[in-house]
Amino acid sequence: MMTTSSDVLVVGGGMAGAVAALAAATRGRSVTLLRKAPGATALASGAIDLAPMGEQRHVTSVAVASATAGWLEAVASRSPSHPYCAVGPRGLALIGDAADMILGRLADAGLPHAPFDAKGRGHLVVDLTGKVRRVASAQASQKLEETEPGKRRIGVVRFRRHLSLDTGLTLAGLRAVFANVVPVEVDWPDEADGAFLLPVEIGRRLDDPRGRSALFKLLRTAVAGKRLTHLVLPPIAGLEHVSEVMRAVSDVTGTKAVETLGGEASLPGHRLDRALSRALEAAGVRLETNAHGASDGKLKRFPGAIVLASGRFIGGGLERRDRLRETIFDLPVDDGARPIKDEPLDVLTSRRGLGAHRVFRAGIRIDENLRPLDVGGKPFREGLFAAGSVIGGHDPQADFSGMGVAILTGYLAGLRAAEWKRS
Amino acid sequence: MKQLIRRFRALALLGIQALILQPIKRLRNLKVSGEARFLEAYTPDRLLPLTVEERRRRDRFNACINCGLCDVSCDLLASVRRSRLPSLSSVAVGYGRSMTEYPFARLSLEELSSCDDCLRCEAACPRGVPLKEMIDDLLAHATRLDKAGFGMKRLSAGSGGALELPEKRPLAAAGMEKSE
Ligand SMILES: Cc1cc2nc3c(=O)[nH]c(=O)nc-3n(C[C@H](O)[C@H](O)[C@H](O)COP(=O)(O)OP(=O)(O)OC[C@H]3O[C@@H](n4cnc5c(N)ncnc54)[C@H](O)[C@@H]3O)c2cc1C
Ligand code: SF4
Ligand code: SF4
Repeated sequence: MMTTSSDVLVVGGGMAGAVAALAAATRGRSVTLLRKAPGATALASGAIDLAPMGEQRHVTSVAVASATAGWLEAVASRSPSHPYCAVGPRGLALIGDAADMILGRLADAGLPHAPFDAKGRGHLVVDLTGKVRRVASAQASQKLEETEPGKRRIGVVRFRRHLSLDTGLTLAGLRAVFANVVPVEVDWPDEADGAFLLPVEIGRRLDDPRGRSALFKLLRTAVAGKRLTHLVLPPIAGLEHVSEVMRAVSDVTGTKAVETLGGEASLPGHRLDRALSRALEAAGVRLETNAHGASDGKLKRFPGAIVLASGRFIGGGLERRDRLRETIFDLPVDDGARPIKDEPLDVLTSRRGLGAHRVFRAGIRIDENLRPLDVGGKPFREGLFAAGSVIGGHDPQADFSGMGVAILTGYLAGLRAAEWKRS
Repeated sequence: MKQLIRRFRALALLGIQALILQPIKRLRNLKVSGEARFLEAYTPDRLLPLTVEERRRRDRFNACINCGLCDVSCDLLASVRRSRLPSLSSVAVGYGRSMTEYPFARLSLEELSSCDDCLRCEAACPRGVPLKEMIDDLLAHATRLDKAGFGMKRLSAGSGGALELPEKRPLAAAGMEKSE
């Protein structure tokens, strides 16, 4: 099944694997990417978090936002086990190159993102609960355009008669942050089983201009006379043609339309997963899907460099049966400070809420050159590099740096793999 | 003194139970097979005996995290009655973990009768849940339960397709059908 003719083999097709494959391909290497299935990347919200950049009320104040300019370095100094530290200042300095590369490829593949600026203030996004936060980047459809507060009048679309698109929480949350937030009530088109449509099904329908006309007519009527500047939609704006759909919504309603971040069954996550596949194909990366996945035995025969980007519990890079293990090479797993072996889950979790759970920081350890380490702290195998959430010492949820780690370590691992030669 | 007598009496009763009553009960039970006894005791709760292999498979059914990626890959979903089968993931979440729910799965799964085994749903699952295998397994178990008289049985079309679950234990009356 596995080609041995490529220079580089990437195991894992999430954000980290895709970035690694693209980085290696950019250096003229032939690359094969092996993936079992979609992973956490396909479930993510669409926001590209590189570091915490402030939340809620504060994010809308210019003074606070400019004070967070050193946010990237702040993560590294606060949390010594974070992969941003492991790769060292020279590695961390390449985060701009890494982000520019992947965001550029995604734009070429039809999924434009808000521009990345390592020293900038980031962009405002809204999640489904109406929380507003600043992020390094997000899908262009998710960027809330900043305007003068006095002139801002935000409509939140609420679809009645649909089972899961109620944005009541979004409305309430936004009202806590901004003045002038009003509901825009729309009856979901009356059709058999329409109330059950999943976000991705709605997205597919909106991709087609004929499919969206009925809904758009309702939207136009609903905003009439409301004098809105912004219109917030649930995350449903197209699967393949998001820019077109958003432009059409803005035209029809005369507003700056924005989608919330993806929630459960995240359409933006799925959109990202597809755009990554298109970007890989465009770069000539050979994609192999194999439901059984790679194993150490199969990988042993591969003569080139390997990038391990197998993710964590969702992707399948880590698994906890009798004990917590890294699934392909059985590399040692730790939480950034202490090894994790067969401790029961109540030892690995805490009642203190986010951030304190050891198991959420679980993963393998790497050196500055992205090489996985064995129990003795030595590189585990020649020509093996690691990227993404399979690396431990950070909590993608609590640290607000999930995509940042995937993009930076993916980029660095891809470059190292491209340079590697068997000695 | 009184206490001693009471203790002695209790011990004697225990002794009679252990040495005489229990063995007699055992002997009588020998006439009925272990499986029949299992079925009598547990089938009313909609539990069926499983082989080791069947039990091992259930570990993989349990792995679902309700991410919804299987739904995105199944073309059939666009044409099913969604009030009966809201999504493929609802099968994995709703029925994959609890055998006692199996009879209820039947109605949902009827909607998948034209599934062409394309297996795209399984390929999309990050947790490796064998959805197709699970669907077949659910149906087989629902059928076994039907045969035992504890499945969910369809009422006549006249009742508007309403469902009922038998409450009484029909085992003795109906005679146990052996599961295959
Ligand atoms: C619901 C949710 C919301 C999130 N929201 C945000 C957010 O708002 N902002 C943010 O920055 N981050 C967010 N994240 C975190 C972010 O999505 C992840 O940290 C990141 O996508 C991890 O990427 P990865 O490539 O390391 O892993 P994954 O995307 O999980 O990829 C792992 C890949 O490895 C493959 N694989 C595993 N084992 C094998 C094998 N043996 N053989 C072949 N292939 C294998 C898998 O099939 C998969 O393709 C969110 C995550 C989730 C789950
Ligand atoms: S195997 Fe059946 S249920 Fe699965 S995706 Fe194909 S048609 Fe749908
Ligand atoms: S893809 Fe797998 S884990 Fe996700 S909902 Fe479907 S069965 Fe569950």
